[in-house]
Parts: sequence; structure tokens; C-alpha cells
Amino acid sequence: MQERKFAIGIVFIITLIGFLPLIVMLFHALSGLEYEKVLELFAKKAIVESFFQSLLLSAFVAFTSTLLGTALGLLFAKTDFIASKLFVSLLIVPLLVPPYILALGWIDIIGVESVLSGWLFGFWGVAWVLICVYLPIPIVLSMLFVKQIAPNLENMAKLYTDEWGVLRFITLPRIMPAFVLSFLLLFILSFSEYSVANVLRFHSFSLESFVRFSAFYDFKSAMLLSLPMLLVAALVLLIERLYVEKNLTKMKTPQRINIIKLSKKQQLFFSVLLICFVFIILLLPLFSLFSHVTLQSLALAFDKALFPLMNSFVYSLSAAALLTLLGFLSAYVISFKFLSLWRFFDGGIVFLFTLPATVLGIGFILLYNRVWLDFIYASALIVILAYVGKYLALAVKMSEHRLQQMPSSMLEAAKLSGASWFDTLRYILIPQSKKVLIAVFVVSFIFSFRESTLTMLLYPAGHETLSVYIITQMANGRPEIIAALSLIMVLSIVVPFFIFMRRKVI
Amino acid sequence: MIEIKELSFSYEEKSVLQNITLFVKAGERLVLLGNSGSGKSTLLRLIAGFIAPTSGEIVIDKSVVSKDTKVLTPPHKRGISMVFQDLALWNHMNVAQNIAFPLKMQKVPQIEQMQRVSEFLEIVSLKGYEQRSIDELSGGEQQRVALARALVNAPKVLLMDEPLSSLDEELNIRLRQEIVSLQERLGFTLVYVTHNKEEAAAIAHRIVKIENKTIEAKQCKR
Repeated sequence: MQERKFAIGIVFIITLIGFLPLIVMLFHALSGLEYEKVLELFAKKAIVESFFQSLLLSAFVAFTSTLLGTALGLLFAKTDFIASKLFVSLLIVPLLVPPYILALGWIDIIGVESVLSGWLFGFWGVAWVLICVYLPIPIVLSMLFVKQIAPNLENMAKLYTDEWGVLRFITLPRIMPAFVLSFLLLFILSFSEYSVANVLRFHSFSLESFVRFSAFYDFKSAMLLSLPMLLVAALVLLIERLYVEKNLTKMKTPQRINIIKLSKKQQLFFSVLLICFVFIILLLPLFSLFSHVTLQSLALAFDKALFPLMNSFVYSLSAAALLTLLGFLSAYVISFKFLSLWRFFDGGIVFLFTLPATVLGIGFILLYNRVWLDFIYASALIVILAYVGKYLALAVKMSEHRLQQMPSSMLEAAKLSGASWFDTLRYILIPQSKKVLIAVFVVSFIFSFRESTLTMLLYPAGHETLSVYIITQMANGRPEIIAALSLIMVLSIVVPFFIFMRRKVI
Repeated sequence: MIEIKELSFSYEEKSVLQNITLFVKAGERLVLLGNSGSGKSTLLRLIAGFIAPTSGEIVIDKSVVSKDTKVLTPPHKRGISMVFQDLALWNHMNVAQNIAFPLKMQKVPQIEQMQRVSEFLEIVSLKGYEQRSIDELSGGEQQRVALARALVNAPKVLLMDEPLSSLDEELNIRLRQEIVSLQERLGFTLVYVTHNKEEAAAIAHRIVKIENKTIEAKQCKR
């Protein structure tokens, strides 16, 4: 009974932070709907074109990145490739770096008026940057799934076919859910991504909605344009629930798996290939951008962006603390099914993550822009709460993964000792999950720190963050200052990540 | 049929098997009996070719398949089949697809594959189970599917690694009788690993006891 009350409390808090803004947004968008106005808006050629262009771009990015990432994941997890750890660490960096910084790097390499500019400023340029940014997701997912394949499943097939046959008939079908999950996740992330399209002047649908609100202050149109994005997110989530959940077996602790031995020639070939690959997708754009940084520009950037930088740290650390706490407690409620509606709760949290930040941001404005809620709307609280709403799914899924790995006997032993649900949580589950809680904190910090769309929409005057400051500087700032600011941003994210990675927390 | 000569195996500098010499006749049912950790499953994995010995050699059907640190013949070319302790059934395939897999890899025509699957499902008393998902089956049914899959391509040698250990006693007794009758009917050579003396006695023509990394005793039953 007590655990039920606790679960209801958690659901209530998450509803206030995440679900309510969305409900309010939907209510506003649909109330007093003038069909003529709606038809007029959605009949505009630019809007229809941007919608289909965005769908095409998302599908292309999701498919290409998933295909490439899965192949790399297989190489790293399934073979004895000598430099796997090094390349996995390097290939994760593009996901940590804010996407617009990689786009800036490519602008720096290609320029705005070169032969290749037409390629960069448009569909292919945005697709290229997003493929690089999202590549780590399929790599990590496929590695995770490969490590779940019991060796005997492959050994059995080895009695009848060679290693390629085993890969084709056993390994690949067994990691198919990872492929589909990655495709869906990347599709929705690309569909809602706005900053790269903004920098590379690509007319994407999420940018359209953002511009309606921020540039023209046409709130009604921005809300209406959010609806198709909301529908796409809902559709993707539905497919995920129908396919992936059905085919996803309970994750176990990664085990010793069968490894494919590479010959010396193959080791050399993959090493050279990956050095070139990492150079092109990561080192080239970042080094090109950071080559403009001088000690003077760095000092000037620090001087100018000290407050935004401090704001970024304070907001991201606060959001990370909240996300760690609420993420773990929500995962506890979901994993132990304390409420009969746990599936809806879980689905709702994932839905918040898949929603374009513009949609969520508009919901937050509509809910909190009231005199009596000014202490939230006019303070940093609105930004912190928005981060929590957006990234809760990451914290929940990471915690859930750990909770699922715990043997039920551990909890049964606690029950037999007379431990209440709270004692079990306090003395067994939390201490057993210490490592994952630190990982959740670090990941939440990184994602909050690099966030730009929600912050752009929500930050009150005097509360701008480093990412907002960089984006505003892009319009008319000096290139060396923008480069120095980007360097500060990248170091603030990458350094803590690698410190924790070295300590094997992540 | 199978000759094992002075075979040793070490893993991470720890000796698992030492100087094993063993001969298994064609059509024989040999049981390797030993406690957990005695190295009996490792011996099966060496015969199957999943791992290479540290020294010694394995001969199957007069050809040297593993010698010293090398696997000379890959597992799929040894004419061997295996039933694992965890059965290793692929739950992304249905019952028929699991059983047909060895035939598919041998490029047996589809019609013949279907005939053989249905024939073997009948042999293991699972007729009509073709389209069932693996997760829908009971422990005993899964056992029979694993057995059908292992036998469908008429292997010369069948290796069984404690296949009945997770079943209740009644089912265990029934299935061991079925294994014996299947072996007598199809005539394959059986190398069976167990830690259960009663099970060993029920199945074996000959029992070989493995203890302290080596063969402790050989016992002729029949």
C-alpha cells in the first residue's frame, strides 16, 4: 500500500514536470481551432515541402547511421580488433559535442562560397553532420546487444556453417531489435533536431516551427506546426512499443561472447580505415574550427562568457541531480510495476524524449507563463525543469537496465529479513546501483549542458547559457571568439566524460 | 571413430585437461562422468572444434581434426552434432526453422527440408509443432526440438553436454530412454556428458570418469 502511494507521488511529480506542459499545449492548440486558418497554414508550399524534406532527411540519416554504426559495433564487440576501446572512445565524442559545433567546423573547412558550399548548405550537408553526430548510438546499441548473445547459440550454428554463416543467420537476426530501435531513435532525433538545420540554412520542419515562434512570435502557428511533429513522435513510439518491446529480451549482464579472430592484415586494414574515418568525421572539423583559437581569444571568450558558462554549469548540475533522483525512482516504479498503468507511465516518459524540443518548450511557456508561477517562469527553474522533462527517459532507461539485471533472489532475501519496500530501496537497490547512478548523473549533465533549443525558447533575461551565447554570437560574432567559445563548450563536456570513462563508471 | 591422443588444454595459464587419451568406437554410447569443473564439457568443446587444444591431437573418422594448438577442421566440417546444456535454441526462429537449419546450411532442397523436419518431429513426438515459437514450448518439448535439430542431418557423432540436467526426474528418465532408443535406431556415435551416475548407467555402453583434469577410470557396462 505504502509503495503504491510512493509510486503515485512519483507519477504526480513527473506529470507536473513533463506531461502537464504537453497537455496544456495540446489543449491550447486544439481549442478555438479555426479550420480555414489551419488549412491555409498547412497548404503553404514551404510548409509542406519542409515537412516532407524533414521526413526524407530523417529516414536517410537514421538508415545510413544505423547501418554504419551497426557494422562498427559488430567490429568492436565481435572481433578481437586491437584498437576497439580507443576507437569506441573517439567515436562517442561526436554525440557529446553539440551538433551545431560540428556544423561550424564544416563551414570552416568548406567555406560559404566555395564549390562545395552548395552541398554543405542544404540536405546533404545537414545529413552528413547528423550522421556523424548520431553514429555513436547504433555503435553502442549493437555492442550492447551483441554482448547478450549466449556463445552456445552461435556454437550450435558453427557445427553447420562457417563464421560468416553464423554472423548472417544467428548474430545479425539476434541484434535486429537494436537495428530497428536505433533507426527509430535516430529518425525522431533527426526529425526534431533544429540547430544544424539552422546553422546550415536548411529549411527543416522543426526550424519552421521554431522560427514562427522566436522570430515572428506567431504563437498559434508555432503550436499548430507542433502537431505534426507530435504525431510523428507518437507514431514512432507506437512502432517502437509494438516491434522492439516484443522482440527485446530482458537485458542481462554482458557475458563472455564468441570472438571472431582477425588476421594481421585485417587488423591493419581496419586500423587504417578507422584512423581515416575518425579523422574525417571528428578531428578535421574540430581542429579546423579550433585552429582559430588563440590565447587572447580564449581569454576574451572566458571574460565575455563567464556568466553564461557558470549558468550552464549550475543549471546542468541541478538538472543532473534531479534527473538522477527522479530517473531512478521512476525506474523503480516501472520495473517493479507498482501501478497498473506503469506501461503508460514508461511510454509517456519516452514520448517526452522523442518530442521535438520546440514542442516541449512551447508547452512549458503555456503552462508556466502565469503571474503566480512567475517564480518558475522568470527564473532558472523553468530551464532546469525542461531539461528534466526532456531527458528523464535517458535516466530512467539507464536505471531500469541496472534494476533488471539484479537477481530477484536479492530482493527476496531482503523481504525474508523483514525489509520494507523502502528499506529494500535504501539498503539494497540504491547501494547496488551506485555506479549506474553516477553514470546517469554524468550523462544527464552532458545532455543538459549541450542542450540549446529548449534553452533558447525558455531562458529568462540574464539567464542565458553557454550554448545560447554561442548561437547568438554566430549571427555577428568574431570567428575566433566563436571558435574559443566552442572549445570551452567541448572541453566542459568531453573532459568530465573521459574522467568518468577512465574510472569505468560510464 | 574418435581418437583422442595425449590431449591437454589450458585456459589463461590454468590447466583444465591433462594428457587425455581416449578411443570411441563407431556406434558406441560413451558417457563422460565427472563433477562440475572436472573438464568434461571442455573435452566436448575440443572434440567439436570450438577451441583448440594446448597439445595432443583429435582424430575423427581417420582424419586429424585438431592438433597441438590448431583447429585443422572447422566444426561444421567434422560431421558432428551437439545438444548443449542450455539447448541453444534460436528463439528468433520457429520450431521448423530451428530443425531445418543444418539442412539449409547443407543446401538441401526446400521440399526435402520440410519432409525431414516433419519426419524428425514425428520421431521426437512433436508432430504439428512446426510453426510454434520456441518460447511457447515446455522444457521437455524444447529438449526434443534440440534433439531433432541435432539429428536431422544424420551426423556420425552426437555430443550431448548434460542435456537433461534441468529437467525433473520423471522427464529425465523418460528422455534418457528415448535417447537410447534413437541411438539404437539411427546408429550414430554418442558422447554424453553428465555428473549423474544413474543417468550415466542408463545411457552408456561405456563410462569414462574424469576427475582432476584427467581420466580416472574406465568402466565397461555392456
